[in-house]
Amino acid sequence: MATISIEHASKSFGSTDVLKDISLDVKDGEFLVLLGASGCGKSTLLNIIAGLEPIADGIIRLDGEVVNDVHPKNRDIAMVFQSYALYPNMTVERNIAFGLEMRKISKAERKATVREVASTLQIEHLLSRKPSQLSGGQRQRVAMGRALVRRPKIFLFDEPLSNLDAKLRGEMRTEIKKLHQTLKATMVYVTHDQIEAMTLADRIAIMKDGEIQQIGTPQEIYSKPANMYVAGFVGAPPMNFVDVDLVKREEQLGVILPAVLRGKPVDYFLPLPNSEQLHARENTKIILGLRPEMITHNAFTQTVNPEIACDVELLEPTGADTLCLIRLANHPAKARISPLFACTPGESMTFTIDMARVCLFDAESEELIG
Amino acid sequence: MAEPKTLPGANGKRHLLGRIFIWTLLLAAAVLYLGPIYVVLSTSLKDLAEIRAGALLDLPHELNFTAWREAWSSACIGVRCEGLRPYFLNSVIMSVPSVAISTLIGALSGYALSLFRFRGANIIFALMLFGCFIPFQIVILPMAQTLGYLGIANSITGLIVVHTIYGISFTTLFFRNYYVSVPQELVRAATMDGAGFFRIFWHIMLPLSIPIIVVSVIWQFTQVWNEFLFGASFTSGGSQPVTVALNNLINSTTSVKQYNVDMAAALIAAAPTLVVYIIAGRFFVRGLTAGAVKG
Repeated sequence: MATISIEHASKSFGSTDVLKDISLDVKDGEFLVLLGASGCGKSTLLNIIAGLEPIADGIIRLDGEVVNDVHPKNRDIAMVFQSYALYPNMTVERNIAFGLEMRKISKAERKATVREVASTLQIEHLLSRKPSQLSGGQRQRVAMGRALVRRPKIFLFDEPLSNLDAKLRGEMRTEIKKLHQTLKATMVYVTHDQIEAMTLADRIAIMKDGEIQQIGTPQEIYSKPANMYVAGFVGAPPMNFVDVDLVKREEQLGVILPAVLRGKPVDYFLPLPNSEQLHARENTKIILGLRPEMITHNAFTQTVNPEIACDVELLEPTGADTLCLIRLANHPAKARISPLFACTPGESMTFTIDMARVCLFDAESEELIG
Repeated sequence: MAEPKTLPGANGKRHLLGRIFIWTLLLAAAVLYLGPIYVVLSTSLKDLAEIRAGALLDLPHELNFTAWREAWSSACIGVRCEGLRPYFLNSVIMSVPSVAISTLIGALSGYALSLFRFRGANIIFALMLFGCFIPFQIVILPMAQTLGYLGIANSITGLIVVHTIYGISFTTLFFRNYYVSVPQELVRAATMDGAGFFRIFWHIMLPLSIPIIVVSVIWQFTQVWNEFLFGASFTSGGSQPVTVALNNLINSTTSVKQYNVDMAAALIAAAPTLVVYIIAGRFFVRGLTAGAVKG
């Protein structure tokens, strides 16, 4: 059992508030990812859980016990650092065993445990080397080994993959996920990489300026982002935001989407489901959030979704999909289509809009409507 | 990047002229510096008759170590005629603990000031740096009083204390600036592993510090060994360091000025610092420039 519970935590360095009244619960065995741009306070939050930073205000509990004043070494937590922080003067074996050594575990037992962890991570052949003789990926594994060897109840990861190249990052990501499935330990993982967050997390907490913007499963975060910041942060390429007017035509509520066809502006009416919340906003400006895959080619002859025809300025083939640069409400927007349907740049083509999945945001507060 | 030599146009005539200029300049500087050492060395190997014959720059007729033997074990300093040997030993007894203690304290305080940034760490560091700029002459009187109060005036122990205190400013500066480039995460990782302040220092920081330890040792040894003023002020007679003894030896005129013995004595007194520098000098340059800890 290992749960983490943070209540109203605040922290400031000098006059800057790094964390503002953060409350967060991590369930036993959960993989929580703290996602955010640099400087959003996610690493500070992790350090607070670890006990490396004192908390200014609020309560932090591990397994229900208040640990505000408990030393990091007594919290039964292991941490993997961004720079790996391997001890340069020690061999890999001693690096991994150091935590056990400090806890006065016998030499024989240390050796056996280190062997076991090394074999899990496939670094047995590296045990007698020094960190300077290892590649980035190998160092990463040693850093993981150092965390694993103590069998802590909670693992903390501080951007552990950000120093690896793209291919290795993908591999290690899979391994971390496998590790979580085998160990079933509680893990908190800090990253600024939304793909890492989406692939690894049971739940994601998105942070900005020391505040949590939204906590939810990756799917919730992706399909129902709480506000425009979250919507723009998660997903690549990011969600298109279009300023539109909410109007009623022939008893049907919908938005007017200005596009460009053969060089001339055209307006399309996109119907929306009738709802009370939207009725109240009739004839106001709102923001329409369209992920690139919601603007796509028409693969079927018949569709319930509205169609728009517009000029394609540029094509960006990515292999599996092709991204089309179009212009909506005078701003560039991206549509995602199958390469089979791609036109040539400068031509116009017809897209369907997946109205069931669009997100609507308040123009003032930038919060999700509905 | 390509070697500068292999760049196109790097081997022209102007380049050659430049080389000749640089080599001439370096040669002149070398002669200027090595000239006096040559004179001292050759004079120490001559006998008095040969010295009186003049020809300061001539090589000695034969390698004659009599003057060295005399300077080491039988030259008269004041009324004692035992040569430099006892004072040389005094200097060793004084330098080794001073260097070791001040280096260790410097390492510890540099570590605390850089990696355990407590409130006011920078102010304390700035105050400690003042110690580097306080001239010896200012502290002589209060130091003499303090040593007397502690009951270690006129003793080698007293000198050890003085040199250790004086050295801490410099060693702290060295170690603090070295540790500033050690990643904080290393300390954090060790903290998570359950190591405390001293264990992190002992198991992780000290093993990383070899280059800066060498710098500190060379610097402190040179300072302590060559120091004259404290030695002359706080000790007398049998507990004087070799620098003071050398001065007294040269000033103890009996009948004739024995230039060869004076020169040999000067070389003996200077030898240890030279030896330390030759053995560890490579690390000295490396340690002063090295900062980043790889790994």
